Amino acid sequence: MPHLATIYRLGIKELWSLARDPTMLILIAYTFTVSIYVAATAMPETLHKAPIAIVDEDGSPLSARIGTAFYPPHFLPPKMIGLPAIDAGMDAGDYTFVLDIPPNFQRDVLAGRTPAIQLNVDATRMSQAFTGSSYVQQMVLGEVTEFVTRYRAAAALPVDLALRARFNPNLEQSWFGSLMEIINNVTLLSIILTGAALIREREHGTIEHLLAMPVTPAEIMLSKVWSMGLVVLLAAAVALVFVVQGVLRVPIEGLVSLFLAGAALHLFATTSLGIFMATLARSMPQFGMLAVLILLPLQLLSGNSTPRESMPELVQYVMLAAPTTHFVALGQAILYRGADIRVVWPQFLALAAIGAVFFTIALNRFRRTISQMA
Amino acid sequence: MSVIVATAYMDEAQRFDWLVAMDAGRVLATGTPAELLERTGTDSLDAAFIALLPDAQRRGYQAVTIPPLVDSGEIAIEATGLTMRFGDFVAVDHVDLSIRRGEIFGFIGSNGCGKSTTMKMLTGLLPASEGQASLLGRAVDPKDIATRRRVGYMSQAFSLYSELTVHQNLVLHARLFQWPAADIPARVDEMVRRFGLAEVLDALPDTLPLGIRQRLSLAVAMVHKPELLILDEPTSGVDPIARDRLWQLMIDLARNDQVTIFISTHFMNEAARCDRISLMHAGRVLVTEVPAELVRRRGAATLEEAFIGYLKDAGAGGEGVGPASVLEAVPAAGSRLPVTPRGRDAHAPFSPARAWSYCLRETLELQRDPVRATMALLGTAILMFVFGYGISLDVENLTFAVLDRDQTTRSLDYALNLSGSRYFVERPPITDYAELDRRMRGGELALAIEIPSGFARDLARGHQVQIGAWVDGAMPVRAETVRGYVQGMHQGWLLDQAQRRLGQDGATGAATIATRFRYNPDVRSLPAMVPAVIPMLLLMIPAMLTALSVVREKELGSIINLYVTPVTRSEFLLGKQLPYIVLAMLNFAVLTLLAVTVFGVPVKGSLLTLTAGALLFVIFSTGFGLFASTFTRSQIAAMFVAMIGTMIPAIQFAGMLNPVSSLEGLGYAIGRVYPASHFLTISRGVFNKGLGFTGLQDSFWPLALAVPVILVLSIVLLKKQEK
Repeated sequence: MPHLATIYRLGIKELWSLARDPTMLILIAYTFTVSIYVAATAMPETLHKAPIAIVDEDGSPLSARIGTAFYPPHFLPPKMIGLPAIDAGMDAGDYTFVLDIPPNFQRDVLAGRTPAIQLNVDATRMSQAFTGSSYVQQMVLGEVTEFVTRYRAAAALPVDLALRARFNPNLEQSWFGSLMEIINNVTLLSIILTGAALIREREHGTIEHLLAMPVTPAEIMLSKVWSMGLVVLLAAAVALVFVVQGVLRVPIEGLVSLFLAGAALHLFATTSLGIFMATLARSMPQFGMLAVLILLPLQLLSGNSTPRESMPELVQYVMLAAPTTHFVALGQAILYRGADIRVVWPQFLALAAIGAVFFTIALNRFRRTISQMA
Repeated sequence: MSVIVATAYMDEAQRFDWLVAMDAGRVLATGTPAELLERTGTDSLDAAFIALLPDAQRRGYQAVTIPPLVDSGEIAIEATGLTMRFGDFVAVDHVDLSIRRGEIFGFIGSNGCGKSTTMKMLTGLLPASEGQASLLGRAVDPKDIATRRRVGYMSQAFSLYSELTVHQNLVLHARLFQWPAADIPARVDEMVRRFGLAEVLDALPDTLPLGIRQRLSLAVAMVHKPELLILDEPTSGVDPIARDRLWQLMIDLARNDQVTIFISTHFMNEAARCDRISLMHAGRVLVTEVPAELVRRRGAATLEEAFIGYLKDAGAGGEGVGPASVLEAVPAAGSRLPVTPRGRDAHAPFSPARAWSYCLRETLELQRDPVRATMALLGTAILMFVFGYGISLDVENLTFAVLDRDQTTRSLDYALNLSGSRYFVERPPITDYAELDRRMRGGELALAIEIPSGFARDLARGHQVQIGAWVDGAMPVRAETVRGYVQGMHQGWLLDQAQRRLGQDGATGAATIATRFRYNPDVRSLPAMVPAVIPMLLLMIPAMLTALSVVREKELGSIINLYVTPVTRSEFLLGKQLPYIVLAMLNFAVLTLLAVTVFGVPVKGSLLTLTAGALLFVIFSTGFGLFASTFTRSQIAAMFVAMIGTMIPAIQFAGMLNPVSSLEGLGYAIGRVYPASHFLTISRGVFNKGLGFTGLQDSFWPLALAVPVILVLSIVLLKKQEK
C-alpha cells in the first residue's frame, strides 16, 4: 500500500527541483503563452492568401475583369506574368495557381465558341490545391457569365441549400489552432518532464539513495506523476483562460473544468509513458531520441493536424491506443461543441483505461529495472 | 615537466617534491614533506597538517581515540556465501561476514574489488545471485520496508538532492522515514547540532566543501536513528581534519548509541581504527581480523605492509607494486582527454588537428552508445512510413446522417447522392433535433442534413424548398472541405434532376476551364507528403542528437577539458558536430532510398542538388542542437529547447501543411527565414518538380546563410570559462 505522505513529500521535492531551474521555468512559461499565441495566429484558413498569377494573352476587358475577381483574404493580389514565367514561378513555389487566358478569349466567348482557360495548380500543396481549384473555377465562370449576361444572375434554384457551420460559424483557424497547440504542449511537456526527472535522478545517483529508504518504486513513480502532472495542468489552465479566452478571444462552449479533468486523466497516461520511456533509455541522449520518435506520431496522428478519418484504417486503429487521440477528441467536443460528460464519457473511460495500462506497465518495468539504476 | 597536484590525501602528498599546505583560501606553509614534518615536530603529514592549522580551526580537534568495544554477543550483520554475478563476471565470490552489534567493522580493498557491490547486496539494493544475508536478525529482502527503517546507508558518491537546501534535505529524509511530524523539528535540530551544520542550514549542497557535504550525508543517514550504518567510503576526498571529525562522530555513535557501523575505506589509518577489518580482493575476502593482530600475524611493521603481504599471496600485483597502486588500482581507466597536438599549430586560431581529436572523441561516444545511432537511423525510417502513409491530406470517409422528415423516394434519392460518393459514409438516420445536437456535439457526425417534410411535394409543384446542412466547424480545414463537397454534390443533384425531368443536357457555360494539376497529377497525398516529411525528420532527429552533447558535459563535469586545454570554442564545437553531420547524411540516404523504392516517389530532378541542399540543411540542424546545448545548463532544458525549437516550426511554419505565403503574423516571419521552409522547397522541387540547382538557387542562399549564423551564435554563447 503506497504511503500517501511519502508520495506527497517526494512530489514536493520534484517541485523544488523545477523551481530551482529558471531556464525550465522560462521555457514552460514560453510554451504556454507566446508559443500558443504565435501558432494560433499563424494558422491560415484553408484558402488564405493563396498566391495566384495570371497570364493575360487576351488583354481584353473580360480578361481584365477576371483579374479583379481575386483579392485578399482568399487570394493574394494576382501577379500578371508572361507565358514563359509560368514554369519558373511554379517551380520556385511562388504561385499555387496560374490562370492562362488564351488569345481572343473575349471574342470567342461572345461568339459562343466556349473557349477554355487553362488553370495550373501546384498539386504538391494539397491543402490549397483541391479547395482552391474549384473556388477559382467558380470565380472565373461567374465573371464570364456575368460579362455575357451583363449582370450577376441570382439564379433561383429550385432547391436551396442552407449550409451552416456549427461551433465555429466563420471557420476561424485560430480557434482550432490555439486549443490544439495547448494539447500538443501538454503532451510534450509532461512526457519530457517526468522522464527526464527520473533519468536525472539516476545519473546523479539519488535513486539509489531513495531505494535504501522505506520508499517503494510505486511511491517514487506516483510522486513524479502527480507533481509534474500538476505543473502541466496549471500551465494549461493558465494558457486556456488567459491566452486563449483572454488574448485570442476564442469563445469556449463547454466547461473548462471538465476539459481540465480530461487533461488530468490524459496527464496520468502521458506521465506514466514518460517514466516508461525513462526506464527504456539508459541515458539522457537516448531518452531524447526516444522522445522525438514517440512524440511525433503521438501529435501528428492524433487528429489534431489532419482529420483522423482520412488516415489509413490501420493507423486509425493503432492510434486508438494513444492517449492523445482521445484527448484531442474530448478537447474538441468539450471546448468547441460544448459537450458535457454524457457525451464525452467514452473518451474519459478510454483515457482512464489507457492511463491504468500505461501506469501498470511502467511500474512493472520500473520495479524490474530499478536495481540496474542503482 | 612540472606537475601541480591538488589532493586531500596525505600519504599521496608524502611522495611529492614540494608542498603548499592550504586552508580556507590561505597558504599555511610551504616546503618539502620532510621540512614540514621537521617544522611541526610531528611524525606524519596528517599530524603536521593539523599542527599547521590556525588555532581557531584546531580548537575542538582532538586526536581520534577509540574506547574499547563492549561485546553484547548480538549479531547485526550475517552473510554466508554471498555471491554476485554480472553475466560471466563474478563481482563478489562467496563472501562470509559476521558483524557484532556496536562494532565498527572495516572493509578494505582496491577500487572495483567488490566492496560496494557487497554493501549494496546487504542493503537490498542489489539482489544477490547466491547466498544469504541477514540484517538485525532478519533475512535481507528488497521488499522488506521495516528493515530499511533500522538501517542507514551512505553511498560512495554524494547522492543527496542538490536542489534542496541542507535543512530541506534533513527534513525530507526524516519524513520519508515516517518520523512523527511533531518530532521532526527536534530531531533535525539535534542532527544539525551534532553534525555541526547550523551555519549552512539554508545553503544548497553544491556550494559546500566536500567535508561538510559528507557530514550532511552522514546526518541524513542517521536522521531516523538507525541501529546499523552502512557507509561506503564516506571519507574519500576529505581533508584530515574533516575526516577525523567524521570519525569522532562515528565512534560516538558506535560506542554511546550502540550503532553498528560497517564502513569501507582505503585509508590505512582509518582501517587501523576499526574493531575488525576484512581485506577484500577480486571479489573474495582474504582475511578478517583485528587490525593489530593482522600486523602481528604477518610480522609486518605496519598495517599497510601486512596488507601488501596478503595481496601478494593472493597473486595481485608484481614487481615494484607500491602500496598505493595496489589499493587504489587505476580508477581512471578510459579517461577521455583528447590529446592536444603540439608544435606548429598549437597556437593557431583554428587548428584542424584539435578539432579532429574532438571529432574522434565524439565518434567514440556515438560508437559506445550504438542504441542512439540505431534509433536515429531506424527511427527515421519508421517515422517516414508512419507519416508517409499516416498523414493524408485527402479528406475522405466523412461521416454524415440525415434527418429525413419527408421519407419519399425523392428525399431518399438526395441522401443516396451523398452516400454514394467516396467522400461520405452514412450513419444511422437522425430522428429529431435533440439527437442531431447530441450526435454532432459528440463529434460522431461531420455533417448533418435535414430534409423538410413535404420536400418531394413542394419540389414537384415548383415551390421553393430548402434543405438544411450543418457542418461540424470544430476542425476548420475539414469543415471547408465538407462545405465544398456538399455544394458540389448539391449542384450535381439538381442538374441530374433537371436532366431527368426535362431530358435536356445541362446548359453549357460560356467558357470552360481546363485544370492541370501539376507535379502530382492524381492529387495524391503520398507524393506530396514524402518530400515534405524528409525535411522535418532531418531537422528534428539531428538536432536532438547534438542537443545534449555539450550540456551533458556541463552537467556531468567533463566540460573542464574545454576550460583547461588550449582548444578553442570553434574547434570544440565543430569537432563535436562533424560525426553527427555524417550520421545525418546517412539518415538522408536512408530516407531518399525509402522514398524512391518503397514509396515509389522518384527523384525527378537533380539528386546532386538535393544532396547539396541536405548537407547544408543538416549542418544547420546539428548546429541548432549545439545552439540549444550551449546556453542551457541542464540536459532537460536543452532537450526542451531542441524540441520546441524544431517541432513547431517544422510542422506548422515550414510549409508542410500550409504554404508559407499563406501564414500570418510571427508564424509567417518564422516560416520565411526558417531553413526548413527552404529545404522543403528544394526537396519538393527536386522530387516532384524535376528541378536542378538553377531552378532552386533562390532557396539555397538563405539556407547557406543560416549555417554560419547558427554556428557563430553557438560559438559566441559557449563560455570558455566556468561561471
